[in-house]
Amino acid sequence: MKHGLRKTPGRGAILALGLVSLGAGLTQGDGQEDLSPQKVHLELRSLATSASLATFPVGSMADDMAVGESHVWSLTVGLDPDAAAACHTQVSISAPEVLQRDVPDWAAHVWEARLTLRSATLERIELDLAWKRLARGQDGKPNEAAGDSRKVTLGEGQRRLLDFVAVPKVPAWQSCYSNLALELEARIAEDPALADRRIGYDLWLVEEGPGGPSTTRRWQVTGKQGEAEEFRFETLRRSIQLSGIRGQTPARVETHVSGQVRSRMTSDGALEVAIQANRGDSLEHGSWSIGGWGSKRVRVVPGESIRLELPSPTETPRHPGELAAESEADQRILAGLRERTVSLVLTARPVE
Amino acid sequence: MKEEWMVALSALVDGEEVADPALLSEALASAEGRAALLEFVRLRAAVRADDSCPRPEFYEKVRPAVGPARAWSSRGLLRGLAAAVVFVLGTAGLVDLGLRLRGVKQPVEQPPRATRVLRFEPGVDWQTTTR
Repeated sequence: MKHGLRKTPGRGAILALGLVSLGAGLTQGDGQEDLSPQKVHLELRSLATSASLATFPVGSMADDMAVGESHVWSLTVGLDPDAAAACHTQVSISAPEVLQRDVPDWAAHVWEARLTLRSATLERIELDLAWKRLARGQDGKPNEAAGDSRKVTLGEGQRRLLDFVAVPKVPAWQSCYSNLALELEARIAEDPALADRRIGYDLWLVEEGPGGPSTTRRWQVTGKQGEAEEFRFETLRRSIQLSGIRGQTPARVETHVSGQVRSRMTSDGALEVAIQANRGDSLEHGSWSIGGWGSKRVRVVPGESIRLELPSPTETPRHPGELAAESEADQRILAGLRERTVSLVLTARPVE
Repeated sequence: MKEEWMVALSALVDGEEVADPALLSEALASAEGRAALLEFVRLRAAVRADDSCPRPEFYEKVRPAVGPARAWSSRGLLRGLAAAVVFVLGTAGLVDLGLRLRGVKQPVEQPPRATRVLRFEPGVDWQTTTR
């Protein structure tokens, strides 16, 4: 009996874990609330999916907001009455002080959104968000067809789909579009005084512990102020002895480490750094894989080195009918992984 | 390989100001530029690892020729070696081979010592999944 009896593909799982972590990792709580407040650039965007082509943005409005500020925006979306045959979209955007309350007869509907910025720091933008979709009733008066109100937290550059609607059952519309959608995108508005600064990253992956020499990998890059830089280290590989377990040969284990780092210089000369890390451990021939991810936001002195320890997996997947020897081998592999620490050592400094 | 590339790469390795960053960028974009950079780094490592120095008699003999104000520095030596690389670049790998034959041990780069250690707490700020 050897490892490899189970059929779950390990490498595919690692890839999937990575995708999940990009979406969720950066908005997890990390207890770092002393970072500098930032201005935010918000964009409310209407998307249209063509009847036979792709999805395109068809109109948007955007502005910078400070913490505590609110904006109310509306977008009226419809086919241009003068060029409907050519599927020209018309999007009417109202100035905040003149909200569109009526739904014109050429419009599919009107979206109205109230956005309030509650807080904004590196990689964390918290908003109060309320929106509604107004449709034109039989009597020509607007009625609220859909809406929602909630608090949302977005990472930098993240988008949130607010509404999705199939196009009205009107031949002219259906020959042009399949659906319409409304989305919100939030990013930090860079301080013009610091926007052109560049930051150098020196990131090490260190695997060490008893039972063998330490292994290091290094990644260096220079990025712009506030820009995310993605890293992916060469896979760490090692053997874990399974002696004493009947029929088992040494297990070959792979550890994959990837993630992203983003930082900003502040006006007082410090650096605020957000690092998101993914760790995946799997058997070389892919009978199981275990993924973990998390993020930290810290304030550092330029040139200061910080170490992030990436936790070892604590359990392996179980499956019905698992043999005792398999289970014992898995426990031995987990113990072997725990014997050695896997860490990231990051040094960030401004580049003149 | 342009000679100007070599000058820019040499300055970079020496930690000196690179007069024309565009040239450096051009050099780093080319495979031969990157190969040359690696050679420079290896040379620097070899120079650092080599703690041998000439005997006092050697200094006595060369002092009249170089004058009292001039002195040998590792930087000057490195420049000289860099020029040598230009000369032998057509035989890529020769320097490396030479170092290996001489048994020069390459120093292993180590990560810097961290001033802070941050730990993830599983279930709080570290999420896991298994497959």
